[in-house]
Amino acid sequence: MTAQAWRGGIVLLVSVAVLTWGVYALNFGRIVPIDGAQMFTSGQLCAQPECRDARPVDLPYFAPRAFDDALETLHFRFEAPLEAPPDGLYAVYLPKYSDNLDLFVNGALVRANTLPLRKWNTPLLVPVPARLLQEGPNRIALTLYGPKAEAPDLQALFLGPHSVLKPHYDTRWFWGPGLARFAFGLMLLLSGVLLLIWQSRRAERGYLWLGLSCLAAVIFLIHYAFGQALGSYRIWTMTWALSASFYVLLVLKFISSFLGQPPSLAERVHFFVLVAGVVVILLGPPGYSFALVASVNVLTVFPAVAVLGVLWRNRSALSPFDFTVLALCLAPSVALGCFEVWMMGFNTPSRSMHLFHIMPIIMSFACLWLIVSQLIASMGGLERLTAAQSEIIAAKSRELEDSFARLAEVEKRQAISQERDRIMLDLHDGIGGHLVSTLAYIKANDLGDARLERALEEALRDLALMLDSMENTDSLATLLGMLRTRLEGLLEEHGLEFDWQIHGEPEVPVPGPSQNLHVARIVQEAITNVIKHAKADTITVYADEARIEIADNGRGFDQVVQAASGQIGHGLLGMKRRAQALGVDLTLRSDADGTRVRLDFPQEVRRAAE
Amino acid sequence: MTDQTVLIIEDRPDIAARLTEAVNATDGITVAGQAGTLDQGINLLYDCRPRVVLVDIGLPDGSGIDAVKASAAADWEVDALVVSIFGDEARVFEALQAGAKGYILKSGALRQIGDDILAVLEGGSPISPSIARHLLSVLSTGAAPKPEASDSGLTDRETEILRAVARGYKRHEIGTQLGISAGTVGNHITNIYRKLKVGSNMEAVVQATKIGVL
Repeated sequence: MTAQAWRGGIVLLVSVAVLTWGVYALNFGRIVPIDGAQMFTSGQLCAQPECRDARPVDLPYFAPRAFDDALETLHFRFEAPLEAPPDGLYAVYLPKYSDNLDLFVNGALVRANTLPLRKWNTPLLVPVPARLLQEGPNRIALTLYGPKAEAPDLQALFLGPHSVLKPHYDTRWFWGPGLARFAFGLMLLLSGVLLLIWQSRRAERGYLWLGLSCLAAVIFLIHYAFGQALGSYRIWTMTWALSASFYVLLVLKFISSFLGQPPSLAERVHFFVLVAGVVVILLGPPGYSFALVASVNVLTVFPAVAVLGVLWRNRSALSPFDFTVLALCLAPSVALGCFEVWMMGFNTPSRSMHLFHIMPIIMSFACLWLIVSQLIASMGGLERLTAAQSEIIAAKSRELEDSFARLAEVEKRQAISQERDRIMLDLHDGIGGHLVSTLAYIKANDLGDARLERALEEALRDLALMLDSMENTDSLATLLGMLRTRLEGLLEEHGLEFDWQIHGEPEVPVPGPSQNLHVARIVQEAITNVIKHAKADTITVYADEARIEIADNGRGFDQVVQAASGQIGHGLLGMKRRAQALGVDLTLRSDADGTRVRLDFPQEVRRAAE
Repeated sequence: MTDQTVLIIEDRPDIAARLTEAVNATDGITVAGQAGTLDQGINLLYDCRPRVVLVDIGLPDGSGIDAVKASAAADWEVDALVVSIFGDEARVFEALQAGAKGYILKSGALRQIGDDILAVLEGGSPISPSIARHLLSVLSTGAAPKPEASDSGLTDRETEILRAVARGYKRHEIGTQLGISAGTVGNHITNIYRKLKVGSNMEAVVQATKIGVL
């Protein structure tokens, strides 16, 4: 054990001791004089019922303890002089006596005993009609019955007007058997409810232990609430007194199981002591039963403190508030137990009020609090779990939606790609194949018509340009690059070469694959025009963001004349029309140094489009 | 000096004829065989043991990529050149990863195929503007080209060269612009191809391109 554990244990023991001392010092229900009533603190104890020999005794009187299960019978006599003639209803009030009695006033029996009921913690108020009393000397006689083993006692008694004594009697009855009966009902109810809960939740042993502890409390509360003895003196004494000890064992088991602790050594020792106690009581002389159960209950103080110890060691498993509630209930409970054990064993200085029946009420409150607190915590946990799960579900749903959207996008792209492939294949192998074979046929058979040949070649070039543009949907510069690789051979055949000057990506006014294709067509046409007509040796292709320019160093031509003759005018008009449709300015300049076709992309139009 | 042999695997007879014509018209190379299917092509590959294989990707009985792989795994020196109508990123990457030395588009000038083959024989890697542009768009993550494309494994110089190729510049022009020789430009392009082939993250790029995420 660590120093901290030792310190904790010492703190616990000291606090229990202090509390026990506190209960003792407060001396609840101490018997004090009542205004308007006569209090008897001394009387005579007679040797015989007819009281031939008597000796004076002071109250409270405790009969000597004897190891005997027989009933003690004690005869008392009190002289009660009245100064005035009695008027109205009188009463004799006995706050504390044990266990039963016959009461005589001036020789008349006013209360006969109710044996075998044991009224050991029940006050008694016996009404006395005024006619039984007289001015001057009166005599109160009582016969007390009680088990010799438990040292029957008689505390100070009162004679006075019934109305004066009744409130005192009521108060005492409430704190004694009244509260015990309340506790009895409560425990009976709780044990039923807890055992029912356990029936449906067998895995949670805590409910079983708590339910059984309430049942144990019910047994000893019968003794406190009703004074009813079930079975012989020995059996009943053993049953009620040890059920209190059993109660402690069950609470210990509940706390352990609640905290998820394995059964402690204290539990096992306690259980062994209980079983041994039962065996010894059953086999031993009946007169020793009470002494034996008292001894077992003295020993029970240790496991009761152990309950506190288990709680202290595992305080981290509880919320600070739960621990405080439990500790505030457990410590006084243990103190009440200690006080009761002390009352069982010692007669002087007397304490007349038993308080042990309050203990189960406090303990049940603590244990129920634990269960409710756990329930609240698990409900909170459940809420958090539900919230977290909803969050996860929402996130997963979003992910799923995203991936569905992505998948749909991928499928769309794949479909587009497949369709594009099919169209490209058809164009290339179908139309392209026909054009190539037709061209080859015309050339092979020398069918002559140069215009037809040129038209077929142009168609092939345009087809290639279309195929290129399908592959390069977003870059006009690359389309021009592809154009160059295809026309390079043609240029070589005509003794021409490119001066290639692509410095940037031309920004077509309205961007798009189709627009790119149209621009590339214009460029291609300009280049083939140069090949056909210009008699040049260099074609300069210049491009940057704002323009494309195709220039040659050929002979140039007169636009007006050419347009009139319609030779290339037709082609030029087509180029212009297409450029206009694209929002591109096409300018053509031709002089002796060559021809220059210039495409300008108006930047402000493009910016406005963005 | 004997001519280097070329095997043509192409299912379209007219294209095959134009390729044969272009190869035979070039000095130093000659067609050793011609196949119309993948199966026939791989058989001829081992029978003819050519120096260069021209292969179409879309063959009736499979993908030409398998012929590229077979060439790469062959026990003699043989370079595969893909000739395809399609030049999309996924196909280009797949072909280059399989070990193709070049990727030529059918829409381009087929009559230049002879020059491309000669370039391969000299250790170069022919590349068309379209292909260069696709490499750029996939290798440079994001729209704006990064100052140092460390993610893609391309150096600034390589990115610069690819961009110039995509705009239609020839090797010697690029060399002049950058102040290096045409051979060095060729070496850079060969390096780019090699990076694609060995690049550890390239498999992911290929997969991403195939399903169309990129």
